[in-house]
Amino acid sequence: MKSAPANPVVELFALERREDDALMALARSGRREAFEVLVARHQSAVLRIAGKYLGDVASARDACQTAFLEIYRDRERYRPEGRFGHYLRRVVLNQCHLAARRLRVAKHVPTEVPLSPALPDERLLAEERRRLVELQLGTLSEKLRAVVVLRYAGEHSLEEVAQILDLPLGTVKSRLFAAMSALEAGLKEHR
Amino acid sequence: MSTPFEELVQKSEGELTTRRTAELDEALTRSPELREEQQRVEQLIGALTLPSPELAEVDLREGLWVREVPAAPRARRWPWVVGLAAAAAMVLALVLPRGSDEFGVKGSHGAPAGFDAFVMRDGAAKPLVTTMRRDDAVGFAYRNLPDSPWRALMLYGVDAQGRVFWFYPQWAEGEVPPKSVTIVTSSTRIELPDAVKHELSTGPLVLHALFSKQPLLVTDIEQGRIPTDVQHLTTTVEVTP
Repeated sequence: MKSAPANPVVELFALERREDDALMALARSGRREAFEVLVARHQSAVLRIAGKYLGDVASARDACQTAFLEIYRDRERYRPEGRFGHYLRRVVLNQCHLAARRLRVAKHVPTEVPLSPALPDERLLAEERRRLVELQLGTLSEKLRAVVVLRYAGEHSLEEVAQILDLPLGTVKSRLFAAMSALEAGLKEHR
Repeated sequence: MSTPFEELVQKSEGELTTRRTAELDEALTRSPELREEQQRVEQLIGALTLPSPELAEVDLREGLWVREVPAAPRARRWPWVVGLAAAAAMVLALVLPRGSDEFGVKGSHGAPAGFDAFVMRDGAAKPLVTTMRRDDAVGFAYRNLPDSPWRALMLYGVDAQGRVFWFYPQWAEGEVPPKSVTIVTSSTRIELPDAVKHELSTGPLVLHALFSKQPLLVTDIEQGRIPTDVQHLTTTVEVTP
């Protein structure tokens, strides 16, 4: 006697309506599809953060996947306090720090930024600025980079950045302003 | 003393007093240099906010469960290597999926449990059928049907020199000997999360899957103490340079 397979369509919709903590509870019981719903829900936000932090899509993808896998492996230790998003961002940032250290050793930072000639002027300029700024971000310390990336790429308020990084609000503000000044100073050299 | 750029950043964050904000707003109407500075702040924030367009195409769920985790090679001499050929002859022969791009479950399809092996190439899993490269990371999936009695699994390889390479559980030098990994029953195939890389020698490698009711200890298996009430599957692959 074999049990009938679950209807995957019905199950998927049911899972997508659940809160992060409920999905983590299901993941703890071995339900990988519940964890995949969490991945789908948060991947866009964390990819933006990692993409900006590392300035490289492949590295960002790798760092985010590793972060999700780390959370899955440690799912027994997850405390359901309604803060999965903040927890995830901390793990992603940690993976970004590690990846950035590896990249610093392995990667030569190009001084000229290749651009796609197919883009219209406005978008071309915006794209050029984006890449230049990502190169400059790579010169910031981890502390400054984490704050500026969470604030702008992650679109978190200063208070949220303070919660995610577990820092006083004043420290977050001073790091943000220091990061912006350092970025501007670096960009001036390219003008 | 803040520079105009720093003050404009603080203004964009709502960190200036109402009075200072009004003063800056007024100065912006008069000073082209300040407006230029304001434009730089906006462009910088715009560039920091703008994601790479390529990120939109990334789906982290693809390949999530097949990530490569290099394991320290655990090469132990199989104590009864001479008897291995005879032992292997007694286990259930596997039918490997040949000429199929699908990642199907290997093993006897009538049996309640089976396993499938694959290698990671160019970020994707390819079925491991007859050959693999010595630097390939190997991943696994298992099938354990709902009416199956098996609740634990070991996956390991034994090369022609009798060295044992542990894939599941992973066992690195110096670590406490682990037990089988716990498995679940399901009508669908379950992929194990890690693809594991060992420093293999070229030549034949016998992959073993040991399904059991209770978790087994790796040292017991290395010493040949395999219980009788297990399902023991093997397949031989050729390791190439």
